[in-house]
Amino acid sequence: MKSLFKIVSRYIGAAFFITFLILILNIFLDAYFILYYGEASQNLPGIENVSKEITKTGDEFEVTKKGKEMLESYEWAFLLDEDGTILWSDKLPEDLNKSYSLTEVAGFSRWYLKDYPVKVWTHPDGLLVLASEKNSVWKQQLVLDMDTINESNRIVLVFLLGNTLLILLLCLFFGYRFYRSLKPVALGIETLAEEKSIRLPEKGMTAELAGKLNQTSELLEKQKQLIETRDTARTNWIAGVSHDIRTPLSMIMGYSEQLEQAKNLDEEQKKQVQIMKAQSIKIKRLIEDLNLTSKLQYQMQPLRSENYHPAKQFRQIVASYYNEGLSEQYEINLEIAPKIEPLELKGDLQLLNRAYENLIGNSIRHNEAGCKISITLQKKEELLEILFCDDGVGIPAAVKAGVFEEDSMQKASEDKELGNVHIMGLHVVKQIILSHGGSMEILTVEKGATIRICLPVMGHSEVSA
Amino acid sequence: MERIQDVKILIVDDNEELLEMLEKILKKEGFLNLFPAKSCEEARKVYETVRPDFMILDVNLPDGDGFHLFMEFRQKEDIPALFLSARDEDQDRLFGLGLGADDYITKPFLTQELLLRIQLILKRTYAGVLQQKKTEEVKIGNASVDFKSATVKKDGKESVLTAKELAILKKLTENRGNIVTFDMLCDAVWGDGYYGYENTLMVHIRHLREKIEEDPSKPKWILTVRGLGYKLVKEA
Repeated sequence: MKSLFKIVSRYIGAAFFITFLILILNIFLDAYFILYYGEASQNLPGIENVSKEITKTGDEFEVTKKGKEMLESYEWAFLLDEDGTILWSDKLPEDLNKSYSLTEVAGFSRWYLKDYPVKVWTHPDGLLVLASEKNSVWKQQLVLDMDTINESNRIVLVFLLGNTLLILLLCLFFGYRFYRSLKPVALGIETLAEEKSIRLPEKGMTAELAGKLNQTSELLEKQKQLIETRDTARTNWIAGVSHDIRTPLSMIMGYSEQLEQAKNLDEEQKKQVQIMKAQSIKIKRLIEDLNLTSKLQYQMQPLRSENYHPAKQFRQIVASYYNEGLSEQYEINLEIAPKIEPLELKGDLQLLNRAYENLIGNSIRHNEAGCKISITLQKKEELLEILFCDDGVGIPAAVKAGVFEEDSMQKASEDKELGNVHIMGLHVVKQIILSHGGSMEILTVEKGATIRICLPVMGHSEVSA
Repeated sequence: MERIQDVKILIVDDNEELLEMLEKILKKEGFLNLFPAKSCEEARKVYETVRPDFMILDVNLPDGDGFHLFMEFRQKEDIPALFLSARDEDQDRLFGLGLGADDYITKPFLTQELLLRIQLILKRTYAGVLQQKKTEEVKIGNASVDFKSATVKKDGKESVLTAKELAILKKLTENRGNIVTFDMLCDAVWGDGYYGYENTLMVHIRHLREKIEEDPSKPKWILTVRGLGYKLVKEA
């Protein structure tokens, strides 16, 4: 809405500016016009000059050469005496050649004589009357009393003020109307930007605009739905496939476990059965990861947040590795800093367990000759830092790069060497840690693999015994 | 019922092959009274005729679902049950456990894990019915512990266990051969977390060793697993 207000206020400002510009321009043009044409109207020789050129010698009136030239510009001329009798005339039409009464003189001196615009001037011997061409001059009387002339400054000011006020009111009125009609459109755009759908009324001067916006909204809505349906379909498909694999896989796992315990197998056969079992467990984890990653990707897995003690959690995880029969060649050391002991965090314990088990599982799977795994928990400022180190073969650079790229899953499938459990497992770990507001990085070390996970320790409560 | 293996187990799953496999595995483990059912209808019939002591239920069934079946049977009798389902959604698992099921295992599963969990449930439920001779007297090396009287006999000498020591030893015995974390022990003894009990727990363990071990400074039976917890070594 702020932007709309800005637009409208600018619009009003601009209207103001334009109006003032026009006013000022008009004032200048008027001044120029009056000055220019005022001078132009003096093309006719002034009557006072003509009067000087007419002199009386005896009973006759004589016009100088210059006077004659001047008279050329006039239609006709005559000179009246005190009684209204024509003493002298020049080119006077017949019907005007008569004596004039006082009333007639008073009449034409101000206005016209038989439609001839005339000028009068006091000659030493009477009244000089000069006529211009018919319809060439417009005569208007302006009578103002003295007070008005004195007040003229104030009047001009009032005029200007009145004008300004009117302009302002009009600008505001149109500005408001403009604002009113644009408001729904602006609101619509704002709503669209928030990825919500809109339905604007299509009327007024913004009807077409609103229509287009509605169309855009519909289009966006459709696309959103399409993407959602596709995402859901993909997630459901993965869930469905993994569901259908579960029962047959149960049987492979179950029977290979039974075979493993059979007494009549030789060493070689026993080994093969063990491989079958180990591989089906791998598939089991793969299915779980696949399901989890597709759900986490589209945020369909809600975080079931609960309070938990990381120290307790890690002891439980590591102990269960030993309790489930960790092979001799592996060793898991857990170091928990004293400060971590009372620490309580909020998070989805199941998911976090899954993440940590993936990391430990990776170290075990990728180091068949055995390795030492050490897990260290310590507090770094407002973070819980968890380091997973092993002294095994390490993580290939390609995997490192893959996990942290946007479309690592896609890349993994393109690169056949990467398309294994390793990257999927790490990908799930990353997703889980990120969904807890934490971070994960693979550190570059000389030997083995080191992965650092940091979880925020916000508003933790120190539990006292 | 003399042995835990004597319980009557109802197994419901729509997959015949899986049903067969479960039967085989359980039979091998000594469970002989097995009653398989492929649908809700069959399960109801079996239930009415045999009145099982334990149920293993699949969730997806051709004529209904395991959740409803479970609720139906639970209304009649409070028998322990375990869901064995291909549905791994958290909400399914939580729903099943929320209904009051004793456990929820997702397919595919390790048969060993399934058996352990079943035994755990049965022990918990039918411990009172069965004679408790086994757990009441336990041999640890040269010492023998009588849980009923809370006494330890070692080399002809008898010493009494305190309540805390007894609780710790019980927990260790229940999980003999496995690591019991500090947290689990503190929870069992004090109903609290490990923090703040670090030294107290250590003192109790030392006293236990004095009463049980031949050389308490070099324990052979109650072992410390650095950073994790303690472990009672299994009898060889």
